[in-house]
Parts: sequence; structure tokens; C-alpha cells
Amino acid sequence: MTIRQEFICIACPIGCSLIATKEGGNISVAGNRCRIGIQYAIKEMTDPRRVLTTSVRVYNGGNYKMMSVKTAEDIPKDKMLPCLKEIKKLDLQGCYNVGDILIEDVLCTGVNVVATRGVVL
Amino acid sequence: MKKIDLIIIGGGPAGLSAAIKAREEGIQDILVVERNKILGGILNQCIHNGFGLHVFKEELTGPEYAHKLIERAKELQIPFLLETMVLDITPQKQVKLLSTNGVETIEARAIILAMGCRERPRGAINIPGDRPSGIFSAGTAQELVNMRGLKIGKTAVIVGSGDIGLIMARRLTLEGMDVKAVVELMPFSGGLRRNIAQCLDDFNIPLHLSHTVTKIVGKERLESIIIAAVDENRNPIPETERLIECDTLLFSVGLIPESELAKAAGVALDKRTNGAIVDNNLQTTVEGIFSCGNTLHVHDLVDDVTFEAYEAAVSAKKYLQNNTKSPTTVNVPVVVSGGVRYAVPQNITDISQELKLKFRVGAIYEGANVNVFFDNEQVYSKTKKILTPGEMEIVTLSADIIAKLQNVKEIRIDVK
Ligand SMILES: Cc1cc2nc3c(=O)[nH]c(=O)nc-3n(C[C@H](O)[C@H](O)[C@H](O)COP(=O)(O)OP(=O)(O)OC[C@H]3O[C@@H](n4cnc5c(N)ncnc54)[C@H](O)[C@@H]3O)c2cc1C
Repeated sequence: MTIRQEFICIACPIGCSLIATKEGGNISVAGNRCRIGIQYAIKEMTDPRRVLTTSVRVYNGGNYKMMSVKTAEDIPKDKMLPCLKEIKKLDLQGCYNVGDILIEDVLCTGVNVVATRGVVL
Repeated sequence: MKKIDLIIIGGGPAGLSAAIKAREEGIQDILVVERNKILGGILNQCIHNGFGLHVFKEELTGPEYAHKLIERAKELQIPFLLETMVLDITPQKQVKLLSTNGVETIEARAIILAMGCRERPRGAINIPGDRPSGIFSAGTAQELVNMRGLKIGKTAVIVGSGDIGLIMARRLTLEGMDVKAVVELMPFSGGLRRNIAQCLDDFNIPLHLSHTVTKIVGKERLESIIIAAVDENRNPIPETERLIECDTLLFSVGLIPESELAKAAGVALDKRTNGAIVDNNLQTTVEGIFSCGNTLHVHDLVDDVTFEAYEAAVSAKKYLQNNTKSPTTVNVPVVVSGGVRYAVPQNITDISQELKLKFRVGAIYEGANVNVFFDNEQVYSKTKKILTPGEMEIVTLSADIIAKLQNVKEIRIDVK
């Protein structure tokens, strides 16, 4: 079976239009002007990953404050929305520091969700 | 009147970086003035990642980048005032502050301007139609969603495909909104490739290039807009008009340096950047007043803001140490030609150091040559794979080359 996918390379502003074709175990890439394009297309075809960032409410001394959070590393792209749902379930109170772990190993990705901005009273 | 050696106006990345460097360089008497409740400037609302690869060698979110600067500033015990707005600066460097304690004027020996920029308002591009609610500038929407946790609507269209517009398209999608399209007047996006791939393509949000909004419809709340393709003169083509239903419209149509205070102080402004005219010490046309960050010219990368602020701080220190002009002083204007839209600094006065010439082009150039001339002599040439209006470029000329400026009438930077 042959799978064909198209990507726009993000490595530089030229933005080559890449066509990746997978046949059996082999992936071939066309449209690239440099090596980075090949690596990018293969990664996007086999294991695309993104860092997820959002912000959550923290109840804090009678009202709430917003705290920004991220996945400490990139997670599989198709886990973004499910992970976002997990983050939205958080019910947080009190004070937090930058780097505090809010969810460990979110949805078995091996990645923690951490605070990127502190919240104080 | 109270006197302070160095007042830094603005507590964003430019102001904080300048304060840190100034203190590291040995300036003791510093004051940072910030009008918001917190330090960090615009970074606090930029919760996405992509900051800090050059300064901190790791990929950080905006708030994390701010946090690192704030921690360092605290470590160095740099005094700062929050919820204090600078109302006015005089050419004599008297700085008028407004806080909950009232109005106070402090005299500074040197000032670093670091007030950032503001968003170009919607009025600037004049779209006919109703004036319902649901229309925001992208930066305001970013603050409402990220900092206040508000839901701003259900279905959105974004005008402008610079990085802020693209990032908001993803952000609103993640917050459960249906982003129907990003509309861009130009035939290309001003945003980074990465943002087009990860903010639009990942979520199947269409990007309509060479399109504009021709009408806004809605009584109380926005109900729909009409978009149309534009011809090569950027005039809408009526046959292409079509309606998109949406209750939210975001405008991300550019940033303008915050220059009111510079103007008040008598600083000359550059019509192209809308920021101050500076020399290669980042000194404005008023002695002892320096400028850096987005108030000088709009930067895409916060790392470049930090490096520029470091330069301003080193210059302020030199200025505070000796008020006399050095023998290496010249006055050579930098002019632009070909595809170059602007260059900073606009004047070279100090030929004892290397020069970082920052510039932007007005259109996309592939395989273009970047050349620098001292009068008619070519001193620098490089072929670039690609130059785009969305990315600031830096040409570095070594101190050896700059030393040759002694009898030169003008420096010209050209893209062909
Ligand atoms: C939406 C958005 C997304 C971005 N994304 C990225 C990215 O992914 N990666 C990246 O590297 N860069 C990014 N940038 C660019 C980077 O964040 C900015 O270039 C940088 O924050 C500019 O720093 P600054 O200190 O000059 O201005 P600001 O951060 O705007 O700080 C200026 C400060 O001055 C204060 N101030 C202004 N006037 C006064 C006054 N009269 N009195 C007292 N205080 C005053 C303001 O309150 C503010 O705190 C982004 C920018 C925006 C807007």
C-alpha cells in the first residue's frame, strides 16, 4: 500500500512543498531543497509532535486567577485535544510556582503538564 | 527634585534586560517604571512556546522567558515601580510619574525608553458596515482569553496572517471556538512557516491570501462579514464577494512603536519605523536618551529585543561615565535602497565598535544579494536564500570595517 502526504516545510521561510510517499517500510520525499526537508517530512509522517500550551483557572483567595501551562515536552499531535480536555478538568486552588507539575504523565504520554507562570495570593 | 542616574521606562523584556545589563555593568542607581501590576510586558499574554532559543538556549513560553528575566532582576536587587505610568519626559530628562501616590517628577541623568508597541487599530484600515460588538484587536483578544479566562465568542474570522493572527487562530480553536478563516490582504503571509503549519494546517483552518473584508454586518453583536479577493492593486473584486457567518472578528494588522513619550522629549522619529532615530549606541537625537525593543522598531523575536536592550544599557553606562565625546566620533547617515524598507540604527557616530545593522525588506526576495556600501565602496555582500518582510535581518560589520568610516559620507544598505 502507498500512502502519500503533503507538507509545507517549516525549517526556513522558503517553505518548500514536500510530498512524502510511504511504500512498505520506505519513505521517499520530493519537493525539498535541502536535507532538513527530508527529515521534517519523515518526522511529520511517522511521529508528528507538538508542545501544547493553554491557561487554566486557579481559585485563589476568593476570586480566580489565570495560570498558563504547557506540556513539558512535545506530545503526539493526535493527543493534543485529548490532553487539553484533561487539563481543563484540573481544579486548582492556592499558590503555584513556575515549573510545578500539575499532571504527571498526562494520558500515558510520558510527559508532565507544568505551570509556566506562578500564581500568588 | 529627586535625581536618579538611569530611569528605564517599561518593565517588559526590553526594560528588564536593559536593567539587568546596566546593573551588571556597574550602574547602581537604577529605577524601572512599569504601568502594569506585573513585570514582563506583552510576554505575559504570549503563553505559546517559541521564545528564548538564542538567549537562554532552550525553548520557552512567553511567561517563562519573563520569569527568567524577573528572577535575575530580583537577584540583582533592581528597584522597580509597578502601577506607575510615565506621563511626560522633557528634553532635560525630567520624568513625570503618575501612581496611586499622585504625580512625582524625577530627574534622570540617562533614560532608556522601553515602552514596547501598540496594535494598529481597526479604524486604520476602514471597513464599511455596522459597528456591532464582537470585534477585537488580536492582542486584546489574547489578553482576554489568556489572562482573564474569558470566552469571547463561538465562531471567528481573523484578519491578518502575521504571527499574532496565526497564534490566535490556534488559541481560539483550542478554547473551543470555530475559526472559519484567516484573511490576508497580501499574496503572502507575514507569519512564520512554523506558525502556518502548526496554527492553521494542524486544525484545517483555511488561509485566504489576497483577500479582504468588504463589509461588517450585525446590529448588537456581529452576525456575519463579507470577504472578497483583491486584484493586484489591492482593490476588492466585487464578483468574488461571499458571506461568512461569525460572531467574532479579530484584527491583527500590524504593530506601531509606542512613541508619544519620545516625541514629548523632543526625540526625532523615523517615518518608516515610527520609532526614534538612533545612532549606533542606540542613543536618540536627545543626548542621554536611549531606545530599545519594540518602542524602537517592531521585533519578531524577543531574543533580539534582549540583545538590543543589552546594547542600550552598555551605551547608557558609557554615557554616564564620560559626558565628553570621544575622538572616534563621526556622523554618517545610514540610507536604504533597493528592497530595503528600513534600517536601524539610522546614524553611525561611534567607530570604535562593531556594527549590527538591522533591516527589513518590503517584499519577498529569493536568492537576493544584501550589499553594504561606504559611499561607492562595497564593504559587505551576501546572497540570501530568502528574505521576507516578516523577518528582521541583521548584518554585522566588524570593528575593523567600521574604523574605515572616518571620511565616509554615507552608508548604504541595498537588496537586489
Ligand atoms: C502576540 C505576540 C506574539 C509573539 N510571539 C513571539 C514568539 O513566538 N517568539 C518570540 O521570540 N517573540 C514573539 N513576540 C515578540 C516579543 O514578544 C516582543 O518583541 C517583545 O515582548 C517586545 O518587548 P518590549 O519590552 O519591547 O515590549 P513589551 O513587552 O510591550 O513591554 C513594554 C512595557 O512597557 C510598559 N509601558 C509602556 N508605556 C509605559 C509608560 N508610559 N509608563 C510605564 N510603563 C509603560 C508596558 O506596560 C509594557 O509592560 C510576540 C509578540 C506578540 C505581541
